[in-house]
Amino acid sequence: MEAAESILTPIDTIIIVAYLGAVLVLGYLFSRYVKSSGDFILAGKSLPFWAIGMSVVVSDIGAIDMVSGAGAAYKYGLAQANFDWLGSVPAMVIVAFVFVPFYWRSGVCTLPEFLGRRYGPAVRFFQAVIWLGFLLSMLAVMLWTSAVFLNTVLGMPNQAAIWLTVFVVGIYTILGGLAAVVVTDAMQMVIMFIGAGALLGLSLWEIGGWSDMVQTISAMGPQFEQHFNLLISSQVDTPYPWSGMLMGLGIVLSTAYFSSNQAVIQRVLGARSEWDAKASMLLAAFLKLLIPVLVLLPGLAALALYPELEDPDKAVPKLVRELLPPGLAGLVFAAFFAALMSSVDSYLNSATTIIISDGYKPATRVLSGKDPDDRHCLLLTRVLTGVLIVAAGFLAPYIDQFETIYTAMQTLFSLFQGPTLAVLVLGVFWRRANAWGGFAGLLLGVLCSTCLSLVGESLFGVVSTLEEWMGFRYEPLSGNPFLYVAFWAFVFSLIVTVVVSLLTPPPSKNQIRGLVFGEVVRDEATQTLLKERIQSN
Amino acid sequence: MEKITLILEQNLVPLLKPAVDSFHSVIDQLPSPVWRFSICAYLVMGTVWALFLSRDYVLLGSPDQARWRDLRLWVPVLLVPYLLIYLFI
Repeated sequence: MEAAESILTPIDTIIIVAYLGAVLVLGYLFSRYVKSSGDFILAGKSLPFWAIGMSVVVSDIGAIDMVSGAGAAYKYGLAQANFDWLGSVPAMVIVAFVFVPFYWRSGVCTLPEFLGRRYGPAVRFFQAVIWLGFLLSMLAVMLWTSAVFLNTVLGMPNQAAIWLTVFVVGIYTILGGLAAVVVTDAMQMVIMFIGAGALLGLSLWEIGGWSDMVQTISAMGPQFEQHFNLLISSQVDTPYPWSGMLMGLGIVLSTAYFSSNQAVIQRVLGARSEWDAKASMLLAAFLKLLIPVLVLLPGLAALALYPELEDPDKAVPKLVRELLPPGLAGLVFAAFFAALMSSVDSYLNSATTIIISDGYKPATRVLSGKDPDDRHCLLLTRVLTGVLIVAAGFLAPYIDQFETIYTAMQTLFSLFQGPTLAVLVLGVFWRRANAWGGFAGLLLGVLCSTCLSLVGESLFGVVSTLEEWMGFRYEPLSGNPFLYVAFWAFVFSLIVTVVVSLLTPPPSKNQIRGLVFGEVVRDEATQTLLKERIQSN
Repeated sequence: MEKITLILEQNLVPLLKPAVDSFHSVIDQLPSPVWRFSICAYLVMGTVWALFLSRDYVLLGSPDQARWRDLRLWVPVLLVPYLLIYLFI
């Protein structure tokens, strides 16, 4: 790969160094408040709603999204915005008023922990492994993507870019835990919004405004006539048909993402009150309104300015190189670092929490018959955080050679979303759902989504990522059936879980005490029991 | 893996294809105002139920009873911009 000449002036470098320094100082300041593993993992339950809301948004939008989101807008147009708009509401409202109070009161730390208590250790193990695999591979991918971006635009060697990120994110996450992650995220969101806003403003200025951009792109030919349509007909060759968006994204994937994503759950559980936890999700849903404007519109602007780009993912780097004056370049790079670090710190913190909560703690209880010492847990959590980020740093350069690992992880993860939501919803709302039902629903649901994904072209008329990954189909992707697959796998899992649960003995009252919505939210005796359980933890 | 896919293509696809096709043919025939209406109806139905939650449930954990802390009031403020987007873009 050819390294480019750096476009940064001394003032840009000062802005970036000052920003990275401020992030490290914040991490150090928060380290003095971390006295227990609870302080590290859940920020001592002290976070205000505005910080969590900002953190949820910025964790969701990483550096990859800033580059590839704009690239997708360049290629497919405004329909890409549905992932942030239809993907936020009503899912985040449902999560705010249903799942957040439920998680808050039932005292669980992770989704695998809840599913384990509700359906047994097999489901817990299954979920923990898939989440961990996804989080770790994403860490390496994020580090590599940022290295490629910095190398292309600044000429910074890949290794230097990777280890700079590892150092900064590792230090403040190890020192300050979730509190440092959330507070730096809030700061990073402000920087990201200012930087992305500046890039958008300059791009539109260069084109001559919004109407000139629409006119230029519309005049490019018939293949661009859908570029400004948010909803696209199912008959058009597009990966984002409106029906798939509604059924797959709106109903299943977005609800599954916000109700089961460890980064989201951990943040709301770190809130200082249940009200703050609920309010944070609503604030995040409001802030998500702005994401397509800041992240996707630069992609459309790049299409109007540079229609000949072979790789759409080069849209943002091209704008950065061509348009930004000294000073603003530093700000936009700070925004890029902000987006990168906010996602890396979230995945890092979440992966550590899953290993400790769903691996180390239960294993210690089984082996020694008692809970692990908290100081030992805190030390282990910090060491593990360091080990994971360094391991991701070593793994990152190999991602380039094994791109299929990333594709495979993304695809495998998407296969789990529909079945996981089905099992979660029934576990929370239906007392009769039992361990057999949950296990069968999850296992057969994943099998169903795998089969549907494999025959995606014949069944839905689009080529599947899974088929491409398996290496026996090399046609270019005309689309991806994941939206339809997620929906039908969700429906199938619901049916399987209900049928198998009804055919096997119901769970005893003791088994589901404190784990079903009606009890957790309304029953006073259960709430008292849960409060005692949380305090004793 | 190719064999598995072939088996699925020969056995699963003929079984599901008629149902999937008839479902999609109905969807494909719908005019674009119906798409907008469906999405907007989903947005409204998915959020307005929150307005009927009890005040105690919504305010639990709130440091005070100030009007702005009633999260039910946040829902319409949140919903309106999303509705405008899907009605007019």
